[in-house]
Parts: sequence; C-alpha cells; structure tokens
Amino acid sequence: MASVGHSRARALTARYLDPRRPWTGADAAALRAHLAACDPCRAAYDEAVCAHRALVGGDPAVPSGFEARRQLDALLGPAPDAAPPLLWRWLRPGAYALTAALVALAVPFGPWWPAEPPPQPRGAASAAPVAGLGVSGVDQHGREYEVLASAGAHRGDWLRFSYSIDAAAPAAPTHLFVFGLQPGAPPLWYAPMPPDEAASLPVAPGRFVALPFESRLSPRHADGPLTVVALFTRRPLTLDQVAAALPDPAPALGAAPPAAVAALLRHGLDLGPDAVVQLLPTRVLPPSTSPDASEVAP
Amino acid sequence: MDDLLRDDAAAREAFRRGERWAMEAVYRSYLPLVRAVVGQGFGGFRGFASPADRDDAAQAIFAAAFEERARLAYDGLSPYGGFLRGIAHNVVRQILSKNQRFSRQPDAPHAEPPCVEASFLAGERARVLAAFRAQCTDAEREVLTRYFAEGWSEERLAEHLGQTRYRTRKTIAQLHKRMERHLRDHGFGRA
Repeated sequence: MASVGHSRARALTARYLDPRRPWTGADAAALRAHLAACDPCRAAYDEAVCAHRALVGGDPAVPSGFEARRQLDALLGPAPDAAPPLLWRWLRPGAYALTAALVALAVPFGPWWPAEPPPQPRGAASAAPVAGLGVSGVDQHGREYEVLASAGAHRGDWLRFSYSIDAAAPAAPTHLFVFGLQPGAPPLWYAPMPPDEAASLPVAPGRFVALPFESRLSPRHADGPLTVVALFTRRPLTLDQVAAALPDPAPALGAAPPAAVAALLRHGLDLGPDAVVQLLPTRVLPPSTSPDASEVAP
Repeated sequence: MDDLLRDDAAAREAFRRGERWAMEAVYRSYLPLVRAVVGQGFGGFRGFASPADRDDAAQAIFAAAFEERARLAYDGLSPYGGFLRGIAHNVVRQILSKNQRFSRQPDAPHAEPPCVEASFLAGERARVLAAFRAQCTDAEREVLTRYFAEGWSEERLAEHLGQTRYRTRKTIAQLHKRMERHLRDHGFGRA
C-alpha cells in the first residue's frame, strides 16, 4: 500500500538528495513505504540516487556520504522507545502551565520595555504549548549533549536546534526565528543568519525536527549567561523587524528577566496570541577539554 | 579497531544508553557490513537488486539494531558484527516475506535482475556525469568530494575551506542547483 502519491514520492526523492532541505524519519518512512509498492517511483529513485552518486564521484552502487548522513538523520530522530528530551519534558502541559503562570506573574521593569505585557486572551497563558525549541550542543568530535541539562554549552562547540510544532493546533506557527542574547553584547543571530538570510525560516508541524545547520559558539560569544530566544510565528519576521524591536542599546537586554524580554518582543513585533515566544536561559562555558573521540570513531 | 562495540567499553555503554554519538559511531562502523548483507545477500538470497530496496533494508536493519531491547541484548563479549548480522538476516527475511515482489518466480528461476548501476558506469550516461565534474572548479570538486561523497558536515567543510558556515552553505546550495540542472538538461529524471 502506498503511503503517499507518486508526485509526493518524487518530491521526497528530490528532498532526500537536497542539502538545503531537512530530512526526517517521517520523510524517510513515507518515501520507503511508497517505493516498496510502486515500481515506477522506485525506478525514478534508483536513477536519481545513482546519478547523484556518480555525479559526486562515487560508486553508483554505494550510497554517498551525504546519503549516509541523511539516513542517520532519519534513524536518530525521535525513536519510539527513547525518552523525550529534557526540554520537551519541561514543556509538557502541566509544567508549561506552571511556567506560564510564573512568567505571567513576573513584573517587567526598566525604562525601555512596556510597563505591562500586552493583553492576552483569557486562557492563552495556560494553554498547552503548540511549539517549542530544543537546543543541544555538539562538541569538536561530533558528540551531542543536552545543553540545558549540562548547564551550558562550551565555546567552540556548536548549537544544534530542533523544534516541535503541534500539528493539531488550530493556528500552528509556520515560521521560526532564533537568536541569542548575552549581557553586554549585541544580539547573536542564529536563524536567519545575515548576510545570506534575512527572514524567519519556514517550518512545518512535526516533532523534534532538526534545523538543517548548527551554529558555532564562536568568539563572538562570551563566557557567561546566554538566553536563546525562539519566535514561532504565522508570518515571517525580518532581521530588521526583530532588530528594531530590541531596545537601543540592545546589550542591556541580555541581563533582563525572561518575562520582560518576551513582553518586549511581543509588543515590539506586534505578535498575536498564536505566536510563541520561548526563552531558554543557559550559559556559554569555557572551551571543552573532552577526550578525543578517535577512541570510538570507526 | 576490529569490532567497535566489543572492544570499546565506553562506546558500548553509551550505545546501550542510546547516546547519539555512540549510535552514530556504530552506524558508521558497521555500515559496510550491513551494505554487504543487503547487497550481496546470504544463504540462498543474492541481495537486493534495486538501490531503493537496499537503502530501505539497511535503514530497517539499523532501526531494529537501535531499538532499546536490541541495544541491551548485546553481551559485549562476542563480536557485535556477528550480532548485527543476525539482526540483519532476520530483518531481510521479514522484508522478503512481506512483499510479493520478492517471491520466487517459477518461470524465470535463473533470471538475473537488471543491474541498475551498470548504465552509470559506462556509455553516454557515464560520460555526461563525468562531464559535470570536469566543468567544476577545484574548490567545487572539493565540495563534491568532501561534503557529498565523503559526508563531511557543513561545519567541518567550512573550516577546511576557511570560509564561514553560511558561505559554505551557499556554495553547497549553488552546486546542488547546478547538479540538478545538469541532470535535467541531459534527460535524467524523466522516468
């Protein structure tokens, strides 16, 4: 039984070989299910992957290194038996409602953010989250670690982002903007990243969908507190819009309470109740001195 | 190292816990073995002819091996390669039994399945594909080799090329677009 139509299967085959597009376990499962039952699409897949392999200088019979990474991405997505990441556990409705209540009680202060949070529809603050961002660190040897549980990420490592959006939400976000704030420093743009990108990334509902890149904790980052800010919206936000919504001077924002930052962004960007503003406080730690992974690398 | 999980206790324990780095190391270490099982077969099975079937089977084998029960079942004493081969045989048997496509055809018991890859190794198709590489600059060939053929990460490639990650990402995207256009212009993808 084919799980997707022919055109969708062809599109998934193209996506599989496209480094600009993320590849998930759901994509892989849908494509494989269709190919198992459809001779023409299987032939098209065979031709596409063999051409790709030959084009990059490999053996047409052997998947390329790029394909191996795609397959690995699909495999190490959300396994049914795996415990959900810490962030997702934190975002469970009960915990989220408590957090939302605490956020609502926090009193914004300072001369540059609004005296009160913008009006919210009754019940919005305690609703189950429709979207959330996950952040993990990747060390120099490619090993991944949980940033929130590890109390931070090491300078020189990379930040890997994933997001979850509830497909059943009536107004699920369609765009994601991610940046970082540190006291005394200008905003650190992660997605989009200037100068090549200028607006939010389009996103689709899914669980633990990895963004197709990592951001290095470059020397622009200082050791100390780092707040990762995720803006899930139903319209794209431009860098200019977000930059304009931040106070001048922006460096002061890095030390502001999360609730105040969220209120400021909602107000400055005119975000409605369907937008999700998420702040993940963590720390930038000194460069890691972890052992070389060559001991375990193949 | 002959057998990663048997010989490296830290990797074995991390794999049992399901830590991503260990699972990646296992995948890369044992991928050749799994490819050999799905491509060359075992017993009376001569391997899957179609790349799609081989990729599907390899994915299914690793998915089964990465299940918690399978991770915990490995004793750490015998070679993991043998353990994984057992999983691979079971998964392949399930695939063969579930799909009528793989049932024996009494009318053509000795028919060799067509080799999909053969047309890419010689003749006009091979010439067209080789022409693309010849058109690339040295830097582009480096991206083709490191990123696409060897599977380097974007970050590693950026460091290797001395570029920012975003410049590298742009280079990769532009190269991929050219690859697509080259294939389209030469009649690929019209099946």
